[in-house]
Amino acid sequence: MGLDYIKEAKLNWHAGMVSFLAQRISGVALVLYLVAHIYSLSFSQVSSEAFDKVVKGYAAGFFMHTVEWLLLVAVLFHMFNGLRIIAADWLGITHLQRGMFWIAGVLTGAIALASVVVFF
Amino acid sequence: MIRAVGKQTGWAWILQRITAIFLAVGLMIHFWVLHYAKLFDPEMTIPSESRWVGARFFESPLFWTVFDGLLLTTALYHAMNGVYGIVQDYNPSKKAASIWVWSLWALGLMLFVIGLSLLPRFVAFTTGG
Repeated sequence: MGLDYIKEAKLNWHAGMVSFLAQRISGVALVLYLVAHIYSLSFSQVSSEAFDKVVKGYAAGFFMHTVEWLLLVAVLFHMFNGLRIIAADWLGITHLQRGMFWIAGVLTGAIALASVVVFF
Repeated sequence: MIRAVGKQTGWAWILQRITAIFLAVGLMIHFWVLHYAKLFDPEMTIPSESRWVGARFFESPLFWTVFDGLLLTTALYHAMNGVYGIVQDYNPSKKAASIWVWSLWALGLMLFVIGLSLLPRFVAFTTGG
């Protein structure tokens, strides 16, 4: 059944393939995070103290900071690359898609780097 | 590249893009108030703590309830529809596809109800509830 991503990627190694794989991986990661996010927010039903305990747990330690920052990277990439796909399609600029892929990557990297001071 | 979400119907495809654009703007605001805002307020070490969430909801309860409600709705639609897009890439049988559709709707609706039920709590944070 199904698709062999590794084989496909090796056969068609170009910006479009990298974009496809990274969009899919970041998308799946964000879906899993969304479920966890709503679950942890549900502690607000217990009490504001219980909610703050969870929130403080996420905001403590190098490991959790790294996880939060990686989630930011996933959101930034998924967003810029997704907007690139929509722009290529709706604005009729598919011929610029490769350049726009690098722009999406640079924007992701720049904002992610600048945000280190916020997340760590 | 044109139909990145797979063989979906027209409406699912266009809604995936409309929610994408809303999420791009909405998540920037979401991240700003819950992470970056602390850069401008030395007292605010963790902006997602209940007192800051509560203060925000106290200031404009209608705006933040509607905003967070829309963010929840669009994020869940985009997420569940995105997963179904992946499922469709594997050419599922009719039966398997319909099991996926019903399961994703059930999960999405459950998370929607849970998420929505939390919003009044955020308003109540201001009263120390």
